[in-house]
Amino acid sequence: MKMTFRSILALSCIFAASMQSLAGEASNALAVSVDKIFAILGDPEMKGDERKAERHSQIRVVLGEVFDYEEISKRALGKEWKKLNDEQRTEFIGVFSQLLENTYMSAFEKYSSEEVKYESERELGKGKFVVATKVASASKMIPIHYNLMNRGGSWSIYDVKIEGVGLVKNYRTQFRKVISKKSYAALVKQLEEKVAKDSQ
Amino acid sequence: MNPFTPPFAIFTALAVILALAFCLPCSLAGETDMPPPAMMIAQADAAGDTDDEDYENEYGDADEGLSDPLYHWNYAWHVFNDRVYLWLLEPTAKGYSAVMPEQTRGCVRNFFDNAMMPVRFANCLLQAKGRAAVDELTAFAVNTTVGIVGFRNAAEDMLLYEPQSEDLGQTFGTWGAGHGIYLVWPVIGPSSLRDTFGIVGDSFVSPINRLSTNWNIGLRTYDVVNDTTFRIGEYERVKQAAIDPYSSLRDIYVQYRDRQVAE
Repeated sequence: MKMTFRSILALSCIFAASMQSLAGEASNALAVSVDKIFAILGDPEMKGDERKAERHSQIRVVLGEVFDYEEISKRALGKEWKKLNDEQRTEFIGVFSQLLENTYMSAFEKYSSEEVKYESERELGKGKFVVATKVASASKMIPIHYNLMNRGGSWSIYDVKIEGVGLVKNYRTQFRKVISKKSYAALVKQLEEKVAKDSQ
Repeated sequence: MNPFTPPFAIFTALAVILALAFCLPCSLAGETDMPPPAMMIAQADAAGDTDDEDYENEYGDADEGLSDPLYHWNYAWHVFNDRVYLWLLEPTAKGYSAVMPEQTRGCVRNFFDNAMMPVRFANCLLQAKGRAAVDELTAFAVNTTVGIVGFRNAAEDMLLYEPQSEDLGQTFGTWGAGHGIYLVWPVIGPSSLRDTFGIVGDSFVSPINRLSTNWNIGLRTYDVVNDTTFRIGEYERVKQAAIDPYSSLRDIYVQYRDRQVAE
């Protein structure tokens, strides 16, 4: 009896330890990408307006590695996604990812000096994790939660919540409105026009 | 005006009853198809993880999150507020922050935060948050004395407490009241029926409302301008990220308030 109790204890310790190391993985993967972006922004060779295009294209590469644009598009479009053929899906991912990149780019340019604090990591099940971080802004600490999933050993972000406001849910609301008021084609056109305007 | 004189007390009570009467049925009706976000994620994960997984459970029906029957009224004020913010408020805040050092602006913000303690304190009590209520009182005592009438947030410097925003709208939320409908007010911006009753209710406890109308409006304006200096560019970034700014802002309001209620 005593043996059983001990072995259970030992097992649970090992289990807890393995959970612990697993629990840190999502945060580590996230931190690697965030550090890469800050390294690009902090690089003295990359400073200034004339290097902006180069800086942005480097950041775009890092964002592309860590953001699962397909998963984000799928979640943001919801029911509409199923009606699309492969070609339409590729087109949508292309234009939506550009909008997301532009948005993040302007946020990073603004917050380059800020410190990111990794607070906790929680498993949601099925390889999905939430990493809670805090970023210091001018007036307060802003909580940013990243949803990551593990697919075949590589981690990718499929949602971001800033002060409780979820990226996917926010776009879902907007897309739904444009599609119901106008059409899917109108949504794609609006996205294309916006991206073209912002990229100027 | 004193909230404890009979006519106002009656009005406060009426406002609370009306708010609950309006909002409770909506929240009850909504509960069946709109579980809290944490549950939604759990449900979606339990629902299976195939490629054609339906995300409806995880995110809910976005438009049912908050009904918007007064869309045209709201949209008109949305446009009005956009102009007021970009053409008037932000330029004023920029000019003000150019002449006023950040430290001074921080002190002004601390002063207003400290002065609004009664509102947060009352709502901590209404939400049965005993610890937070005690923290509010302690912080108020420290900031008003050591912090020189609240200009310095001495309590936070001393790590005595982490200030959290509490208001009557959130209190109604913790009592189970839903938003009712979405409402955009001039200058105040996005709100809901529930939170509008909250703003009215809170105003009876707000010390600034005890002042004469001119002082009241003057101080409020000053508070808003001072606060805006810390958020220059935020609104533009939200707008830049949006494909439909009106529904983006509405959704941000709902998600942000829901998190505050859940905290």
